[in-house]
Amino acid sequence: MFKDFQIAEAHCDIPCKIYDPAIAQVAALSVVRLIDLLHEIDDDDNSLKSIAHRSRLVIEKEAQAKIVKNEVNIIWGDYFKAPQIESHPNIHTLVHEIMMTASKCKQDVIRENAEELVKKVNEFATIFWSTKGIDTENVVCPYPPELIVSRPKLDSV
Amino acid sequence: MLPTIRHNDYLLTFKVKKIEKKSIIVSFLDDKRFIVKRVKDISENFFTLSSDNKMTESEFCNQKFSANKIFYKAVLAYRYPFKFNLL
Repeated sequence: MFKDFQIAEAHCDIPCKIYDPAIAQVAALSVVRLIDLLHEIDDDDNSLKSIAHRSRLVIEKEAQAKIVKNEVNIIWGDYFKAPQIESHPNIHTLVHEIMMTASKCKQDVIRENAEELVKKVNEFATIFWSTKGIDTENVVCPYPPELIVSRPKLDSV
Repeated sequence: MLPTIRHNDYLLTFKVKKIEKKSIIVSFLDDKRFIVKRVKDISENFFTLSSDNKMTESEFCNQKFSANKIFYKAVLAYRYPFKFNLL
């Protein structure tokens, strides 16, 4: 008799509940690194090779800043619900600041803007993990630009 | 839909023409799938859904559904072996 029962689903997100700000953090670090590489190029070198190299770096800087905006937007828009927003009422302001700072990084090649972006995305990551009851720690990333990143303290297996 | 409905619960439903706010409904998502959610808000032609479990995410909760769909109102949930819950 039970074979005629229809199945009703309450969830449809695929993949469901898989959110991680690490992608945004790596992208923000990449923006800093790309700005550093742009500043390493000799301003007087206008050879085709140099222009092509500079163009590649600028295009990638744009792309990485966009990844930051997209990843933060997804977590903020899809993951943050009333309970998380109530416990972190500053999240809207922080996300807006990340959007603005990422845009500044796209518009210019000022390292301080990119460092500020990393700092704000770290703050976002710390809030995200705290909503899951997971503590975070600040560590220095083991690759250029060797800035501080906030990462979750996860269980070893 | 926790804690109201759990996975593998059975729902007793009735076909209804009009849906009411806060009632739990079962509706077609497509030809093969049904969804079960609570009615959050109703406007003239659309309604929105919410989940009882506020800690989970579902894209259904951000969508507008046409009020012209076929709905089934859930009135009773049966949980193995002996639990019945009026909805």
